[in-house]
Amino acid sequence: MLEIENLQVAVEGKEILKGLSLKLPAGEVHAIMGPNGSGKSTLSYVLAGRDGYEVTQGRVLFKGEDLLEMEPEKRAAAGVFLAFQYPVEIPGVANTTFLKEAANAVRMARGEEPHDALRFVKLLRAKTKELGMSDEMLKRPVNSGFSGGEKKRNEMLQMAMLEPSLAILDETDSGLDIDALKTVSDAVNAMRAENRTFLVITHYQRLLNHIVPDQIHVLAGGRIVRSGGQELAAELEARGYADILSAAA
Amino acid sequence: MSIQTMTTAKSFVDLYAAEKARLPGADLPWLAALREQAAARLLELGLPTARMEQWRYTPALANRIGTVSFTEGGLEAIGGHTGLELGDSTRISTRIAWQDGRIAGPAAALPALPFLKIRSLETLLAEDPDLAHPALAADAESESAMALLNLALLRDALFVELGETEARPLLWSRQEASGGLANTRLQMTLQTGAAATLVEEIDSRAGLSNRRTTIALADGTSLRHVILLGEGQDATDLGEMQLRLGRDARYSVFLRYGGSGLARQAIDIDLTAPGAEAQINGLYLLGGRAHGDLTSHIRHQAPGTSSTTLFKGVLDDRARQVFRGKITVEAGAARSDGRMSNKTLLLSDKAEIDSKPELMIFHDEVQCAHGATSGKLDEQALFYLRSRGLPLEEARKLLIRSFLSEAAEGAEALRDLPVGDLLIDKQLQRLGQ
Repeated sequence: MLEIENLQVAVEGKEILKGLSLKLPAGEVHAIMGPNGSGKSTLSYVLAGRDGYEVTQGRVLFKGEDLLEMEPEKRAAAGVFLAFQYPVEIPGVANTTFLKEAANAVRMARGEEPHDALRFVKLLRAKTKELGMSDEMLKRPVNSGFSGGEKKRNEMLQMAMLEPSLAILDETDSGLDIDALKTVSDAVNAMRAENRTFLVITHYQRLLNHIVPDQIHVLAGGRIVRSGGQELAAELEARGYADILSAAA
Repeated sequence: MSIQTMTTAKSFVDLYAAEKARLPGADLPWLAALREQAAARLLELGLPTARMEQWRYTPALANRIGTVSFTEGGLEAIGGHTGLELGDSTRISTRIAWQDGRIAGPAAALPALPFLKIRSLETLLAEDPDLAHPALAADAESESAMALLNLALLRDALFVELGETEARPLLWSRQEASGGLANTRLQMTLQTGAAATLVEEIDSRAGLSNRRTTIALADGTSLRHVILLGEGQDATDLGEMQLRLGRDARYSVFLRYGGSGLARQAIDIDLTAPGAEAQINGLYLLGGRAHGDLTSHIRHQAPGTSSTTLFKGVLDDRARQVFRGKITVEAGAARSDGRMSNKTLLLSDKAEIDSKPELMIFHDEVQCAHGATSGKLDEQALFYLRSRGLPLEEARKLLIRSFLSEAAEGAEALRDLPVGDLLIDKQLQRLGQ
């Protein structure tokens, strides 16, 4: 699904990712953990196509195509979805309107029929309910005045409506209470499928108790320094990053 | 013809000298004397220039106005669209069409309803000159060159008296100008208990439009006022408006600027008695070398009065917008509440907003706030929308629309009016979005 080879990325002249390589097969859930400043958010922004990130070396293939050549909206149409760590508030645009415009833009770019109004509303209501969101949140402007948890649920709602083949969750667990964490994890687990890959970026092991990954990678100093199974998360939780970092150094 | 030379006050005074015998009310000595006085004062004062504080950021008119003349004939409706979709036209109680500074159609055609009296200048001068006199006499003393010019060369006016009604009548006025000088005057009185909606569409294609409006709102009255400048607006359009609000009177106005010419609206509101409330909301979407100017002064003269001003817009190319908002809270106006905000999106490095909010407060225990912001489209929000599949142009439009929505959504003046999208889509296309 996604192949990252020797990716080197600089922000304002400062090198952040220093030769990151990663392979995400279809249908798998991979987690990236790492200390602050290790480049986790940079990786997610580069994959989604944000401006201001200079790729100095390496390449990223998504379904065999050069992802880095695509505009952000093309990536979305191709199936990339980033759940933002800090979702943006857009006052003046009703959440429903936004979701519909986004879903239909993506569907049309994929050569699918846009949702008809009725079907869309039905689908949206069902997903909203699954995520423990109120209908009222659909009427409100996008993320405006939403609590941290509501914003994250809204990200999951967008993910559900856009049906990506690669979903990147950038610290979706931060700011969530235990109930919300469970709801969000259930939403992700419900979407796990053979043709869908997840990249879950997190600080904490607790999310990985709910969304059990196929592999865990430790990102430090702009590189993947270790990869392993669920036992790696437990090791990190018990001993912190220091040991792994010194072992890798 | 003197296209190369600058237009001065004298150009207008010359036109006055040539036309005065033919102006309405020429046979009324008092009116002739007031016009004479206005012309003389105009010559003394000169046309507004940037040296006058009130006109500081707006280019001198001298270079913009070509030939000074009245446009005759050619009363063919321009029919430009202003974005108002009134739909069911039976809701409109009265339609008034202006062409080149005169009310089109016979004066007798103006409707007379039990609660609504509408008269043209000539009718009023014939029937009830005492009603016209005070306001015109006040203009002859005005410090405003445009008010003096308006009086000296006034060819038509609309006098509206509104009594108490159960339903809120909708008055619709459309002003078109195809060139030359178009002076118009609207004088409106709302008697106790009256409520009305007044929609003005303005589409001036060339020349100088000089609109003068005075509105008196008696106790407990309510007026919703919409002023829409058409997309074809390519002339110099100057409006000056003065309002007096009595006890618990409510006035709300919504302005929409588009077009490519110079448009300036001055609004002076006196909140004279407790409970009086005013709201000014507006939008501007300007590109090219268009220039807009909103200059407002709200005076809180009594306790418990309130006002809000929210003016938002988008500027592209070399467009320029001026906002001068002043709130004065006079001594004794306790518990007054005055709020003012001006926010601008700049889509080009060469576009300019000159925002000058001012507060003058002569009483404690009042609440006043003002704010002005300008900036570019939020890159973070743009990326967010694109990452959800919206193409760049769609994302930009959505953000601009979302930025502007606050001013229209909160506008009391637009309530219950099927205003459509106020041409925002079309204007955005013009701005090269």
